Amino acid sequence: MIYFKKRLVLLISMVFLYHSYGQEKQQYNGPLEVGVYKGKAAYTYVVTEQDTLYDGAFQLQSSNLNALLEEADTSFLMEGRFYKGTPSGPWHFQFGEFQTESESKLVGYEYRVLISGQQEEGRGALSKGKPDGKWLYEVNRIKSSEVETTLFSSVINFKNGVPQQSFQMENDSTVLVGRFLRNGLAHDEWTSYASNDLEDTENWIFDEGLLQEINWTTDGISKKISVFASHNSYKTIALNQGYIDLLKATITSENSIDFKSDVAQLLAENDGYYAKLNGILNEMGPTELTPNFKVKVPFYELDAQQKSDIDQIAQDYKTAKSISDTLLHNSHLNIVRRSDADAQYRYEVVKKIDADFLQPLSTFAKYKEEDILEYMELPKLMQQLWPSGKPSTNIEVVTDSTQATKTFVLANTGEFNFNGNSTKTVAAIAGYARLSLQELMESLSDRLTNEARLQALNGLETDLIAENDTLVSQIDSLLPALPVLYNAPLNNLKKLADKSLGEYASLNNPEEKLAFGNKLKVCLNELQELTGVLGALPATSEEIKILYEDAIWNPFMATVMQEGVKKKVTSAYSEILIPSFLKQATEVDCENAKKLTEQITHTNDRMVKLREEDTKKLERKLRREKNPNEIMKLLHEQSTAKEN
Amino acid sequence: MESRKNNFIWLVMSLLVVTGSVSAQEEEKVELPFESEYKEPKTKLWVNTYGKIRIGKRLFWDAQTHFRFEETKATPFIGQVGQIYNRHAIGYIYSKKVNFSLGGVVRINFNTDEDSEDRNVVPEWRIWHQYQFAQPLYTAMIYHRIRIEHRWTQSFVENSEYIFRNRWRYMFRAKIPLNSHKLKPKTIYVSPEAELIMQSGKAVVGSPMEDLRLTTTFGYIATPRLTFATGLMYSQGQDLTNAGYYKQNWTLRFHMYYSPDFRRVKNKLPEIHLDD
Repeated sequence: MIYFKKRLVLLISMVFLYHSYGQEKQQYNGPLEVGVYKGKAAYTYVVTEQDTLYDGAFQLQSSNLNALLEEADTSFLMEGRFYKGTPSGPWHFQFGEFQTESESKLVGYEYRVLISGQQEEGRGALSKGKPDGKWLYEVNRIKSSEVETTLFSSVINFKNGVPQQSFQMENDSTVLVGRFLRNGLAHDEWTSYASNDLEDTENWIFDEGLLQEINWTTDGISKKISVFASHNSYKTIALNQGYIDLLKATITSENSIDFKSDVAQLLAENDGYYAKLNGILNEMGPTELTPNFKVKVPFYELDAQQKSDIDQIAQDYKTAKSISDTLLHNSHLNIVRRSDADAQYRYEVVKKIDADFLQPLSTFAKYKEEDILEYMELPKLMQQLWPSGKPSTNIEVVTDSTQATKTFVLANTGEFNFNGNSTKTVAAIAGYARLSLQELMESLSDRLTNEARLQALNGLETDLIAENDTLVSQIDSLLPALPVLYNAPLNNLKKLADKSLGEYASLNNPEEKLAFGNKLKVCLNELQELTGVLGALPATSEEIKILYEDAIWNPFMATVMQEGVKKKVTSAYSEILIPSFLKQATEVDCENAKKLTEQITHTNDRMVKLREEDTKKLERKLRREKNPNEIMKLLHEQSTAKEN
Repeated sequence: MESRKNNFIWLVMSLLVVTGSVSAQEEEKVELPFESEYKEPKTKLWVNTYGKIRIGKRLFWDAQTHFRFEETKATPFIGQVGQIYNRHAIGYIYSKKVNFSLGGVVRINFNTDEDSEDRNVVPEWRIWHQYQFAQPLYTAMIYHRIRIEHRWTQSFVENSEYIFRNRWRYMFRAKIPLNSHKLKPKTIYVSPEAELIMQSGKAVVGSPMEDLRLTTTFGYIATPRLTFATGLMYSQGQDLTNAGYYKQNWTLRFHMYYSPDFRRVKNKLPEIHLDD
């Protein structure tokens, strides 16, 4: 027993010693969450100064057999090494999304299931958080546990975080090869070709980082675009999305073409994958796993005043945009404006400001976020943002269907000067937009605050607006393709919906509103159905017409011709019933929309059936009958008589 | 009346035993002119009905009645009745593009010679068979028609005897739709046609080319079963009695084509699958 005690004391003191020696590595096995990745981890770590640092091997993985067998599984694996908290050494990433083929096989003492899906794999070494050596990234489509197609792959050589020599990238349509100077600057010719057609190429010609021209060859036709003209000052920046946007802006304003580039597409894709890995690693320790491609661009330096203008523009844009979004997406305002001319007018002004001021400013703000404004010539940028001229302080809108216009203008409009092409000009535009929207917001606020009282109706109103929008877009897309006869009926449906929404808005009692709104929702649905049936009617009636045709061989012409049969039936349908349906639709209201829809569908069905039935008697009766209701009754009688 | 009956019997008999004894008229000496001579054109007007009545899956009754007028001194084209013409046959539909017919013609010829003191009316008899081939060409159809007729005619002279001739006819015709991409109801079409009629027989000595007919017709397909057409025909041909003389005609033609089908519905369909 004493012997045992001695042993225990020794053991405890040893453990204590071990602990006091803080730099000693420890092992962790258990659940871990890194960003959005939750899985089972195994790693070693050290504790220094109360800080836990990854040190040594690291592994995090997840795969769920049950999920896979049931539906699909999202699996991942990341393994590598850290050195005192910083990723260092070889790393390997896998992200998969798989389904099984729900068939299993017993091989030896293992169950095997074949899987299909997509797997991403990244692999390479890091040195003090920076890529070093060859990095590979590959996305494969997996079918029956084998690689079916490579959707993307890139190979880049790094030296201490700087890309070296040459790189290669490809996706399922394009292959890109290019090279760098020692300092990571893009240099010489970057060549891409379509993987299914080697003749189609796109070449980017760099000179020490400066992109001079892009050459396209498509179907044997070559096109050359010079990109950056020579300039007295350059700056080196990263080849990222901002640079691509800069190219787009530069090329668009210079050549007035729509810049579309397979190279840009590939680079952006690659950037995305690297950003994903970098994001994960940065959750655990300082890392700079970026492609780090460098390019040179012309530099138009901005002074302190201009920079402050730009900050102001971004600020104003943000404020203005948030007001405009609030107003444009406010469901109550959306309803109120149907019966309130003033609200309608202000709503239209907001819409116009959003389109003419804020849309272009959003691009400007984006460029600011991407830090590329300093590499653009401001006058050209302005030309690109407002190709048909800068907006006016007088904002004229059409307020109703009679095309009457009304103009909105701020009281202190004189303080805003939209002339010129400086940051001041853009600042004036942004400022004017913000102040205008703030004023509009104020004057509309009484019609927005009602909303609080009608909170309960909120969801319903959103639904009503959505149903109405569906109906309107359904009708607008149908009308151009339909015969002109259909204009009146469909426009009536649109008007009916609009009128009913107005009626809804004019109700004050919330209970009444709720009851009316619920009925209206049903009605809007029925109007959509009716629209669908009416929209299909020309095609349906043409099908029916063809159904009632026999092929007749004409001996004089030696030709087969189509001859209409049961003409009394078809003419009653096309000359009486269809015009009657259209007329009814022109006068339809919420009470009888559904009935009309049913009548039309039922009649179409009957017409199809009558083709095969004996209709001699029916035709005799139809000869005298001109009343659409009686005709529908006769068509129906025929069916019941047959059934008896 | 008696003599006409005799004539008919004689006709039927002679279907096989063909003429040998009818050449009495040719005894007069014929002097050919130094150069061929074209007579003044005559003007005529024809109103023709054509029926093709389906009587079976592959058979039809071909029924044609034509009313043919010709000029008098006072009235061009429609001055007097020239012939009333009845053509009937049973047709056989070999395929949608090919059909054959066999039948008879009885034509009533009116004496149109205003100065003549001979008989006013004499009949004319024919047996005919026809082979028609159609083919589509772009949006149009073209037709080849071979028609062979065995024909017995007599002159207006009292008690004149029948002479027998064979007629060899080939017609080429196109029907080109004008307001449509194919021949279908509500289509107007134009139809150029050319027919060469050759003849042979003991009575035919120097004038084998009986008629060359060049016609342009405009037609309208009202329904698959009814078509109307009208056109103008120029024709020329050698005089039977003197090969040196050429007759010429300008003929206005009006046609109605009808093709009813009285079969029961279940027998009719499907019309287009003739070859199945």
